[in-house]
Amino acid sequence: MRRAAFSLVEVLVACVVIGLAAAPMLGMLSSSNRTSKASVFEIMAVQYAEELGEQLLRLSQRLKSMREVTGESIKTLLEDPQVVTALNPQMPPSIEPSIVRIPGTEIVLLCSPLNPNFLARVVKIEQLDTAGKQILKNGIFWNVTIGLAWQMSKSDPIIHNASFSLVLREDP
Amino acid sequence: MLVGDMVTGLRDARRGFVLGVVILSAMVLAIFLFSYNTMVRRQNIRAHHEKIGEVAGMLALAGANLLAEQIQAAGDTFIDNAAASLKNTADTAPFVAPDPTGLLAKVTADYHAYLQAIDELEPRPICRRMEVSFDDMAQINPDTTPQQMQDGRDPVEKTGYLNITCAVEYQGLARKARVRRQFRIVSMVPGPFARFTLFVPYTPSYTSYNGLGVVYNGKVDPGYTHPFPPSGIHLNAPLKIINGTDSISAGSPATNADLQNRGWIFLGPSHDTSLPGQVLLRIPSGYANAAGGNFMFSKAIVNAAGKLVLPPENIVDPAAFAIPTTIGIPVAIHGIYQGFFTAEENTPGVITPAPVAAKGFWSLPNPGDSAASWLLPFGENDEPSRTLMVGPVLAGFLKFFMLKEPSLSSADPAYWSVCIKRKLETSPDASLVYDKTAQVNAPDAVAPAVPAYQDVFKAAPGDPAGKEGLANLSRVSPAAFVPGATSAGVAFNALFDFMNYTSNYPSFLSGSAALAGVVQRSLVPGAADMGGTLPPGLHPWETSFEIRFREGNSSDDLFFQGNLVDLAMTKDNLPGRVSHIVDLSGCANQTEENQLFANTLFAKITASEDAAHAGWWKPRRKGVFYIRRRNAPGQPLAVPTAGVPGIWLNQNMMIIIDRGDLSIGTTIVAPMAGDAPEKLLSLAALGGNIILDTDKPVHAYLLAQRKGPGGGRGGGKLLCGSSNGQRRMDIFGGLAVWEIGLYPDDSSTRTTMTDFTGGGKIRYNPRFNPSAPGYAASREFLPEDKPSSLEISGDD
Repeated sequence: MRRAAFSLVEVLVACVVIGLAAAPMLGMLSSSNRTSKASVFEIMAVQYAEELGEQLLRLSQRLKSMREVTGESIKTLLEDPQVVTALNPQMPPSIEPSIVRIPGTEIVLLCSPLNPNFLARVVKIEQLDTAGKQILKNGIFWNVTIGLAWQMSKSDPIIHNASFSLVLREDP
Repeated sequence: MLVGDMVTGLRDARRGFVLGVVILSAMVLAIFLFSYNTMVRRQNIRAHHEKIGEVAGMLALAGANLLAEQIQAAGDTFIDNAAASLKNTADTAPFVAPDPTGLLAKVTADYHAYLQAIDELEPRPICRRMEVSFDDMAQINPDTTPQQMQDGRDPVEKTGYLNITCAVEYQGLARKARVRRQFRIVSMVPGPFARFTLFVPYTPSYTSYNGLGVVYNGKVDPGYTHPFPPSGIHLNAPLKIINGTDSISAGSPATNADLQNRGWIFLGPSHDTSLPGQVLLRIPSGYANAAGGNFMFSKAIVNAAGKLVLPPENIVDPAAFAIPTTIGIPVAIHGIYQGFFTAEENTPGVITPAPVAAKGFWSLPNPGDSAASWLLPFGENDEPSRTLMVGPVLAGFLKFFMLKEPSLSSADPAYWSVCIKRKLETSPDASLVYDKTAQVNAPDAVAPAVPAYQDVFKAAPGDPAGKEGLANLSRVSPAAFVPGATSAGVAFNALFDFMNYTSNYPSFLSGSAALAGVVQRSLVPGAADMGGTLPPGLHPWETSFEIRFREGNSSDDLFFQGNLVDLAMTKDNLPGRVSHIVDLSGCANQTEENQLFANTLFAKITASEDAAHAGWWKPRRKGVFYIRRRNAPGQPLAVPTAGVPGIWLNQNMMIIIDRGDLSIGTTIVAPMAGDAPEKLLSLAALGGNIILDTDKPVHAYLLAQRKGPGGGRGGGKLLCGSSNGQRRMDIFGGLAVWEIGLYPDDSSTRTTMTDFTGGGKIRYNPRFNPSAPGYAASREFLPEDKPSSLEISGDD
């Protein structure tokens, strides 16, 4: 008595179908994963920037006193090498927020450690020109840009980045 | 056969099954992967939008902060221009502030220009708009209960939220940041008593204030020692009360607005068994030209005859005070005031002790009572001040009305009798001329039989009504024209202001219109009732007593109602107003307490900021500050600490300390607007005294309203500090304390009068007056220091 079984042709056709379908599906899966990862990093960049931006906004009221105490502008203080280093803690080994002490003051900024894929968190400060302004001209106006750079993976040659800006006023 | 067919059928049915399963699985997988990919892509777009939105949101928040700073810098200017209704009306409907000065448009344009200069962002962000709105507003005191009215309810005071909005667009995505701050509109006028230049609910004795020896010409008697307190005291100078300023509240001729702006005086009932309730002020009569004079009821003149007596009031009211012509009386009626004195100076420089009682003008309980009042509620020669006395106050002065006949010398003792006689004659004398000098020279030693007004103004013998002038005078000063030995005094609790110092009456007293029918409660409470009450005048213990913002019948027109004696500044009517609580209770000692208090409320003025006031203190911020002190502060809280040259008051402040004394150690001066300080400072000691440790000017309203035990003596006072060498006060604002008067039976307890032997001056700042037209300016817009919330959302 013959036993019931799948024909070879049937199996071969099935294999071909699987083979044809798998390639694009795997490609789509890989792409989706990359996209998802990119989204995660972008969201992380937003969080890092928001965290620092809120603290810098609150500093606005204290810029004058910081200058009086240190004799330096906020630009000089935040571009101090110690500050630059402290802004870029890596995780691991650090898991606790980094305490960024602004030189010569009691003011500290708290920064979450960066994901290993993040390459840098920088704060760039430029003075804005008050010429031609009608009301917003008393004091010093600063453009504070928070920049973040990251790679999708260590082997990924593409460096992604995002910039966030603030305008702060220092009392004359 | 049957079995074989079944097997074959099964095999046929399974043909293509694997392929079907694989294709189905592939399709399911494909759908799953497609869905996953779609989801991921959506997430990616969302993340990207979030990044863009974050950029826009941060810039919007920064913009809102910059606008908030500009609004704060603009201070009251912005609120007064864009949201004046906040300070002026009780309306609590939400609204978006208009931009009449273009501030919002300019800030928007400037900020947009700054955004265009940010090279890191491409394309450049756009500042769409900036906006200010107010919502969630509610009255602080919505109730109109009697208690609320007794607390001095201001219907305009409110709380609410200030919303500062900035919208920024970046890469087509717009974000709106809203900084939301709670605010309060509160009055910087501390309470109903701020209507008064001097507010003193408790009087120890009916004659507690009469401690100043004054000779007949108005000079202070250096040899006089008052029997109160029992150990005796000599007061060197009076306390002059100036109830307003020329530019803010005075005018010539007097007007209703003039009166509306002036401060009143309240002296509460005495706790004296001999004359319970009543308060007697003995008005020192006389004018010492060389010394500047003590007071004046009328314009001073230089008396060639050396009789240093004030000229009589010149009544120029032909409608109400005309002599009836029907019987042809050839005389004119005039008046002269005669005050109390302890000695007289008939010959310049020679003082003769001669209490007024000896002349039979007045029956005094004892010779010591003939001393004049330490209080000069009507100012002095250089600064005459019209006064409204509120309270059971009697004026110890007499007003003689006389008739003058020109053919007889006024120095003739027969002068008065002739006047009376001439009154009955029928031959008119057309040459009658009012002669001020002659009347001034009327001999003071004569005790004339003073004619009664009703006799003069009778149209015909037996006419009971008399002239309208009599009726008018009766209403405002019922006893003033009928002096007699048995009279207890002249009630002038109603209208001291009747004794005007110009030739024109205030309009509200002119003729009979005002008092007969027009009730202006913001000017004179109960004015219409004064003619009918006994004893005549205004009685602040009546429940109907009212202080009004303005004329009207709405409860919103009413500032205070009830018995003034019960009025007290407690924290109960202030919690809604307090903007900052300063807690000093953790301080270890007084030095630490003073230091923390000073650092919290005041900042030092630098030379670059204001060279004229370098080293002085200035308020760090405006507001109503409630100070919690240590449990048992042994020493007063110092404002300011030693060594500070002064406080430059460039912002409104109200400082309330919950316990202990408050010491003022240096001058406090505000910039002037007109003749009065522009900024208001109230210093209140809820549980203690105010110690004035300087004789320099203090521009403030001082309050020490703590009641004495059982409502008696021992309450809040103004006392003199050891550094106040002149032992005098110079207050430009007002004073509300529980008591100031001398104790008749206690030499050991310090009072305001025993401390301030050098007298001084209290000048009312009309800006404290809730009835004044400019009262709205005393309301402050006080936003919270920190935002209640920061919201970032999408913009339409």
